[in-house]
Amino acid sequence: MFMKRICRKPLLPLLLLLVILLGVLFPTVLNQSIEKSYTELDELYAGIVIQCKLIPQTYIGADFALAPEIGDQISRMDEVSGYYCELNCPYYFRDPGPSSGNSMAHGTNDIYRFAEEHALELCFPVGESIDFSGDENICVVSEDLLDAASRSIGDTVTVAGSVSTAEKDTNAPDLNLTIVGSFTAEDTDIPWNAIIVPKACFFDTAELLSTAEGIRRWRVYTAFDFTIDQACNKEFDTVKEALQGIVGDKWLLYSTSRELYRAVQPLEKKLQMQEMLFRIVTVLFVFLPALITFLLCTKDKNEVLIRILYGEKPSRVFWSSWAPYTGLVILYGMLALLLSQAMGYLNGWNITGIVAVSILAAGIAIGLLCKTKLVTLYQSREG
Amino acid sequence: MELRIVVRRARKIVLITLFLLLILLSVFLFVIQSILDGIGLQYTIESYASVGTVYRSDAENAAFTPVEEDVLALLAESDAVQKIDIRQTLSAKVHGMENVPSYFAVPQTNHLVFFRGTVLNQMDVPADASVSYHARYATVRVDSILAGQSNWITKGKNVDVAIIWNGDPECSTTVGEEYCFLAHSSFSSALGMLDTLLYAPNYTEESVAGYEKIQSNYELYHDTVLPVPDSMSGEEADAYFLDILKSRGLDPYIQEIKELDDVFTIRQTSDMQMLIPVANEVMFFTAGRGIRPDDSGKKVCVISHELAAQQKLNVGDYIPISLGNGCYTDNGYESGFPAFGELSTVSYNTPQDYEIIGIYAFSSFDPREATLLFGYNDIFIPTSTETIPPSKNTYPYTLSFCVGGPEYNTFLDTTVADLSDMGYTVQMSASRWEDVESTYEAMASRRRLTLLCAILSCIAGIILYVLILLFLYRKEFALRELFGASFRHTRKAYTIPFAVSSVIASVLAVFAAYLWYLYRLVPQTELIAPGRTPANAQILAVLTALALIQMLMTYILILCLAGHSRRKSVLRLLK
Repeated sequence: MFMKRICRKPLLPLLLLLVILLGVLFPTVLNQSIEKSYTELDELYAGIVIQCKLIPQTYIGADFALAPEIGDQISRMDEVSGYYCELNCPYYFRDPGPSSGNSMAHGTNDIYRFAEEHALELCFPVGESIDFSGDENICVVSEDLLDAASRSIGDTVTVAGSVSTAEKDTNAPDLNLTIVGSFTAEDTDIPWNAIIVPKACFFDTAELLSTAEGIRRWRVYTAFDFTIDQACNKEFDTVKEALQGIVGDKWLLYSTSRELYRAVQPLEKKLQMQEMLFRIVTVLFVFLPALITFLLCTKDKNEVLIRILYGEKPSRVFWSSWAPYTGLVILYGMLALLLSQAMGYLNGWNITGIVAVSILAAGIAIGLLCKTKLVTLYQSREG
Repeated sequence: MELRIVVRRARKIVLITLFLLLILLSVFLFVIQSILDGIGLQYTIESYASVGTVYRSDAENAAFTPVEEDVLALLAESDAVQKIDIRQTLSAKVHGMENVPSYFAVPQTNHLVFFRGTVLNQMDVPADASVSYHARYATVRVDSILAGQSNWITKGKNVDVAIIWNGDPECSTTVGEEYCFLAHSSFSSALGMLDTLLYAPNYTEESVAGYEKIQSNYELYHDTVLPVPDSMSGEEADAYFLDILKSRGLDPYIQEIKELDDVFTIRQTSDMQMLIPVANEVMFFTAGRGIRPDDSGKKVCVISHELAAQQKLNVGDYIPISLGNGCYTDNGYESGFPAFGELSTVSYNTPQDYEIIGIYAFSSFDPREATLLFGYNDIFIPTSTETIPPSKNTYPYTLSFCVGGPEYNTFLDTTVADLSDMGYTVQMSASRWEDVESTYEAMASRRRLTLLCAILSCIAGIILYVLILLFLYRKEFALRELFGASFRHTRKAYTIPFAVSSVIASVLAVFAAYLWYLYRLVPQTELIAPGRTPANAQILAVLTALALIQMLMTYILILCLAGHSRRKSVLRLLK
């Protein structure tokens, strides 16, 4: 009977099918688009390299002098993937050595970056790479110093740290350093008689800095920067706050985060906004099939009227009229489900919502018909 | 009378109105979304644009050689160039606010310091065969200041002075003795940049014969350390110093230096993102933001971190700026300060309050890099519609143009080649566009697909609405046909419910979507594309236009289908 009615007047059932498919497939396309965009956003986040630098808050020409405790605290953070530091102190050659007086010993954790920063050309024995991040007693000196000290790569030199550049601290302990490489430079701020040593040489009291005054004056980072772990780029704002908390008010935290703030974060906010709007549209699309179902059910007015006239109980009329529509909507829902699955995206909540609201609308429409007085129902007939 | 069709069956009109309302709301939200999506995507893509400037390839002092009009015209005509920013420079005064004592780019008159002081200790720099001058560093206690920026030199405190001389005469300063100094702060490539160090040169006339600039201000370059006679008291010594300055014609500088205390350099820009240092991330904002195109004509400014720290200023504060009627040019460098030894010529208008919207700083700063950096006393304001005397010349450092990532290769192949033929080289900021291009292209194509889906859904929705309307009112139409009414009359069975439902639904949908935009989307758009939020009236106009288009489309469809209904038998319609 129900099928006969459907076949006789197929327009509304067909419209219902169309609207349900539209209500399911359209959000499917949108959600797929958003999901892909989020994946791409993650790739964009991961592709950004954020380098951070600390800049003294005090204005104009302030020398960079960062307490190593702060630097080390930063470098130990999980969110920091790498750092670079420099520090220096006066040193002199213990015998035998060139009689050039005091010069500066430069410490770093990365000799290659140091060379880049100071325009040095490094010369290492073929095939060797030098790691300055450890605590070995090694050094790199200029070719000129090698000549002046009559040494070659692989030899050991004995040096001592000093508090002042003008005086030699005769009580300072000896520090034996193995020369692992040399450098040449044409335009650099590193003097020919300077030595470059691993950072660790500044942190052992038996080594370059042996006095309290020496530690106070020279155990400071004269350059320090670091890179944020790319996996943490997404949480950079939180990381930034944590970093600022560590360095305090005396330092400005500078980061190369233009792309993050100008491109990727706005893009993320755009996607969030899109998501919010698409949710609204999805909800709106849930109500379209409900309206048509309601309309479709009200067309059963004659059927309901006749059955009630023939003495059938309204509750029975209700259940028997509602059930086929429920089945029809579920059938359409299944079709939409299969189609969205074929398209590679299944939004169960959306389909469930459409089906449930449509069934509810059918229930309300038929319920209202069954509750209406017979006379009123008869009067409302048009055809 | 016709409205009775609607009133008699109110349920029907409510249903179709609701249906259309839902369709229209979806469409409107999509359209707004699509507009904002496009703006947001464009904004992010623009952030990958390369910013550049041009230099004459063959000029000795290329950075300070004006860019020819033809070159500017070529850039303006190039399709690859998105925007051009030519910054105007002006001198300005901020009354009651002392500028930052700093050296940048070129020596200025306010770098002069005339003071009396006692030499506390001194050290001669060993003569080097490679240099033709001698230098002595003296620590001097400042006893009295005749002229000099008060925050550069302080009475009672010590100051380091480098006394530089050439030729035979020895520098005869003695520790414990008092001297009058005609010193200045400057950058010396030989001695380095020290903000606390003043220079007191004593050059022989022959030695500066080749230096036109020094020759014209020779009084400032010789006999700059003058002994104070022992018998003189403090006031007498100052009077004695003043007499010397008058006799050498240097006394106007005393007033001039005071006058320059509150002078600043104004850089008018349309968009600070178009500054090469900002694009290269050497210049950054410690608070607030830079000037944006939508700031045009507003009374807002961006100041340096150094100035903000010195004056304890922050974003949101106001400063009274008096714009000057021009600026000073020193060998091609435009500044708000007169060149060293020159006197002020600019006059200033009445002050206007400018709100500080941003504070800039540099990750690294070299005062010699005037072509790529800005001084601590540079204040950025937006371009305005007010008549500002245009600069005669456009220098490479006042010009920026922006080439979008997608157009970069075209720019290299076409415009750069043409510029090269004209004798110019291009300097561009780095961009990561090539790495991210495919991602953004995918996003843009998905946006187009989504828009297409939305258009199709909209059309489908309208067709559904019309079909439902026709279905609901077909019997009314059939009855009119049955009674032999004219088509004009019978079609009203459809058009009246259509008119009522579409007007109500359109008004409600426009109203709801507009409110949603105003209260929910505008704040978010400011985060997505700052300064690019479409005007409220624009959005309202778009929504209204869409509603009218929808009505027109629906009306045409109804008319077509009404004609089709007429061809059906009345019995079929009444079923």
